Amino acid sequence: MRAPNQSRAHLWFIAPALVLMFLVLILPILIAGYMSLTNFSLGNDGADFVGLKNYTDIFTKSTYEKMFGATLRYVGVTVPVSVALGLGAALLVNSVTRFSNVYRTIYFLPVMAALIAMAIVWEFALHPQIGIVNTTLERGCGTWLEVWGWLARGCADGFPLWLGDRDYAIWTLCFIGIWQGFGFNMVLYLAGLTGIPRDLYHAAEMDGTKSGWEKFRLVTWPMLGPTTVFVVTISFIRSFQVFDTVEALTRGGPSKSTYVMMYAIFEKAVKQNLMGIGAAITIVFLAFVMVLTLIQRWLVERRVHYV
Amino acid sequence: MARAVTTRRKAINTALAWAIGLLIFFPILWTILTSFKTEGQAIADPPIFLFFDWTLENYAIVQERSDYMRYLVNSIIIALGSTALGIVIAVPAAWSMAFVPSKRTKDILMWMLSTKMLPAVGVLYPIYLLFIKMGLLDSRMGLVVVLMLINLPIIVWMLYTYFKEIPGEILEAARMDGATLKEEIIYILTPMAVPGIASTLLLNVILAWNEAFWTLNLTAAKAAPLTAFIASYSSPEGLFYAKLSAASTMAIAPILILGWFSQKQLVRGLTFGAVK
Repeated sequence: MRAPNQSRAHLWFIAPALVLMFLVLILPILIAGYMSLTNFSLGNDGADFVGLKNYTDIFTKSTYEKMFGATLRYVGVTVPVSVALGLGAALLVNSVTRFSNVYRTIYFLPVMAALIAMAIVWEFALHPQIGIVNTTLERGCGTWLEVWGWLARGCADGFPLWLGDRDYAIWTLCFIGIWQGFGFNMVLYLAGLTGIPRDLYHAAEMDGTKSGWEKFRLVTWPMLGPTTVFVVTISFIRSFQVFDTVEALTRGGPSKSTYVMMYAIFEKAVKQNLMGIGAAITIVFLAFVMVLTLIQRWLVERRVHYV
Repeated sequence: MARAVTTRRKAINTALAWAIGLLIFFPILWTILTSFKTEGQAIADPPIFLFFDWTLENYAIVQERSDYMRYLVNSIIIALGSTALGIVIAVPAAWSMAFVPSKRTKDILMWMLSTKMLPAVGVLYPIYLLFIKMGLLDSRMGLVVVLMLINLPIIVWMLYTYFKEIPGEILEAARMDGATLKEEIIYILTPMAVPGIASTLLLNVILAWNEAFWTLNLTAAKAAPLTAFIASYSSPEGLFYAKLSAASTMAIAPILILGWFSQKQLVRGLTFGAVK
């Protein structure tokens, strides 16, 4: 039925976007794939083909073990917490009718504030001696709050150095990531909530569902399935790609405890000019993300759509 | 009876919502307050909340050290330029995917989105070398192009979801009345899609404004936007917190103000595409 000139026009329409994306985004992946098999470095003519050496390094050396550990910790904490908080905040904002726009805006502010600017604020707040976090904790010393064992230990032996503390740095980064990102998830969930037909709740009430929890479990949560899949995927990708805070606050340290993959690629390829190994980490990274995307697609196609 | 319970419930929820809001907002608020303190008061223990000697000195010093306006202008040009360019390229693509869908449309869309998962560092060097060759390093033009490409998948995707909401019958009617393809897009489609395009614009301006990786790696002095401005203040002067806060506030204020006033539109844009 379509006019022939139009179907050709449609090709011309989509072509610029596709070609541009191919040139600047896909081509470099191919280049990276090739470079990952060499020991290429910039300014060094002629690279040697080293086969899979870069990859075996990644999966055997302890530095990269730390890299995977830091990445998994970050992703493993940031994703579930920011998704849960996003859902909680959305339910909360949804239940409050007055000023809900104000909450929305406030919760969304960190998403809009450049992470690199906010990183400085956190660095300040978490400064071991003069930061507001530790000075506030110190105020609890000598009071009844010391029944909390962790606080009492901190009063006696000094509070954590947070970003400079091997045991705390990665969790501190997780916290900042959650603070920055959960508002985004909340907004997505709010949209999901408005999409649930009111009748379903009435129907559930007629069937004898009374408590709020039951309504959530039987109606809200299943109906939010597609939203959840989307939110989880986005959160995964965002937390896998964490870079700004690491670069600004810890640079992978202390003792590689925050050496996440994006930072590792940056350090190897850009700072140390070891392009081969940097490219290999890039490819491994992409493989991870690809698997996640495939899982997401599979979930979407299988069973999360009820309407 | 039930009403009493819900009223109390509501009060608790409201209190909770405010408390969380305060917690979320506090770091930003604290930055803004600190920027008006003297260095001594900024690190005072106990912290001073409101009753300090408000001063604009930090802003003056920051302005003296680095020309804020230049960075601001660069940020505005780069954010608006990359968004505008992106829209121009994305509208036709989104149009054709929404109204002339083929078997591959879904695949193409997925593929476009999957490029967003690329670690930017992975493509930094090829682009860096290309930029040197083409003389685009430290130029606004270069950043406009790169940020446009980075955000293009999102723009196409958002526009696609908006366009899909437009009933095809309207376009058919226009065609019956003899509208050409060009007229169809300019007179029918664009006006109907204005809200969608506006949200897309907003979100992309924010994304481009906050983008730090590319802006830091591809600029030096001439084309550096506010992200570079803030980065130049970070590590070496670790302890000048009032000045750092002033610099931070100056860097995020424009986008927060924009976001605050366009929040509704922005959130609509974000969610509309995402959840449908």
